[in-house]
Amino acid sequence: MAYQPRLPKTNVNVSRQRPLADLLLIGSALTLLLLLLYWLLGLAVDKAISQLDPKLEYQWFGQWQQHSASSPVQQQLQQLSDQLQQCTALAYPVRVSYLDQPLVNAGVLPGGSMLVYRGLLTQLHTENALAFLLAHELAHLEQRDHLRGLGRGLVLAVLSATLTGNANAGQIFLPATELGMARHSQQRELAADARALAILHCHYGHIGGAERFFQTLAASDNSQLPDWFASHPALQKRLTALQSEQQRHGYPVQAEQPLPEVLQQLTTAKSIRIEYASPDAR
Amino acid sequence: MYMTNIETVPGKTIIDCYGVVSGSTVRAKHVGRDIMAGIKNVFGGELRGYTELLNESRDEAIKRMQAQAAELGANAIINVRFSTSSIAAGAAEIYVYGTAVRVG
Amino acid sequence: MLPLLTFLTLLLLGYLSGQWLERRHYRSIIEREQQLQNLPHSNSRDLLLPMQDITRVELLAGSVVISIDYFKRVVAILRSLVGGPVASYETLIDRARREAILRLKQQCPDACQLINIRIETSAIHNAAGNGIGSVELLAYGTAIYGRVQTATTAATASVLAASLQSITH
Repeated sequence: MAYQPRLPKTNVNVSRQRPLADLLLIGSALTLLLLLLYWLLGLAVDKAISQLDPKLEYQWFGQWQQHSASSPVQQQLQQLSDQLQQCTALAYPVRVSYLDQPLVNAGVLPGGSMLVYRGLLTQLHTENALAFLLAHELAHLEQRDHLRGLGRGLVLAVLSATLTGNANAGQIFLPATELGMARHSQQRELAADARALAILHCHYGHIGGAERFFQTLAASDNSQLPDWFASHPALQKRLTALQSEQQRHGYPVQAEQPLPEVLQQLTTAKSIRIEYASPDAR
Repeated sequence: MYMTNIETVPGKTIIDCYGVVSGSTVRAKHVGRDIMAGIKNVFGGELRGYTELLNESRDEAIKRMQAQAAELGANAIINVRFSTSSIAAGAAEIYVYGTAVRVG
Repeated sequence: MLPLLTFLTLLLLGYLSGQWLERRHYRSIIEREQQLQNLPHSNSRDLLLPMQDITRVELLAGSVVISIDYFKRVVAILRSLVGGPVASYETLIDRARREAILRLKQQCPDACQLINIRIETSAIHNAAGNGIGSVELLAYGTAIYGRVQTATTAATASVLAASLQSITH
């Protein structure tokens, strides 16, 4: 036997594949499939939610709410919210909670809970602007967007877990589903804006303050991210939508009312802190 | 191509030796098969999809090893050994190696 | 938004660094394989070449752990959804196996032959689960030092053996 030193010229052990093409082809096909599935399930969730009785929802989630000590600010907000609620179709009481945190945000929870952060309150300078904010959140409750958000989040989690059966795979679909979520969420925001205008008009007889609400937010807004991924449309887009809505219904604009005294103190005392606040304004 | 997993090719004499040759592959089944396997895991029994996957992978690895041996000028591979590794979940990773020789 | 940016950054980073490292590794593998190709090696238990006298016999092992980059992991996950060969992992195994054998050979450049080479996976962590995607390979074999029986010595040996045989008969 003799040893013949030789090396193979070609490497047979690696399949000829283009990993980039693989990524693009399979990735886009799966993303499309997932978006389609997500869209269909989203429709199913919307359907199911419109079937769910609001009274039942209040029974389920209403008890979970915490009863925080009522501050003068909170009482003032509650009073205004109650007045605005008469212009909506909401059948259950909405409880407003004031959170003394610099976050520029507000939101609603299932069961008729509304959260308003100090950071957002300090940016509002008239009662009408504040009323628009509360009306916007009431519109979310009325249109049941809080449940839609929860339902879609649930669908998303279940979908990525069952479809791939792989904990790591979820992160690949994240961008696609985020895109879908953002699109849906932006549509709901614009719808809530339009409804809030109607509530404002019903309560005051004019819609003064709505535009100012966005203008003051836009002044402090420094986010540079493209808006198709954000949960909320760009402020400029919302402002334009607002103006066209106003023209369509012919809502009048009149002088605004000043803030109640308790809230005015808040604005002047804490306005220095605005610069620390997050730009993500609801 | 003769292939044995012993030191010789019985009835033949080894003339030349070319060293160790090997073939390896990583293959996966589509996700439908994985889901079926998950269901089957509850009831037990043979996972046909995975048996098939292992067979395909082994055949592919052997084919690659033979191609490498042929490129070196060998007509037999002796002492063939199989081995596996595990990087990817749900994929079969097989490699096979042996000594490429020329027999006469 | 942030998860998406992280994902894309990792993907790009993984692609660029993974490609660069792989190309560099393959260059080094090919270069060293050429340097070491004259060492007779086999995975059979018999001596590859007959030895005149054996001075030393030594068990040697070479091992390597190679990790997969982020880009390849993503492609592999996508691939495993549709089935077929997972090329991104194939290069990984190919590199690891060749590297392990090279490290084995590099330990005995003066040996006459390297026999009974075995290649095994050594599992450091369960990569198939939630661990880091990596491949761990171990190659081991027996190195034989001494003097190889050349054709002339082989001829005299066989003549001697024949004469020895004729004497005994």
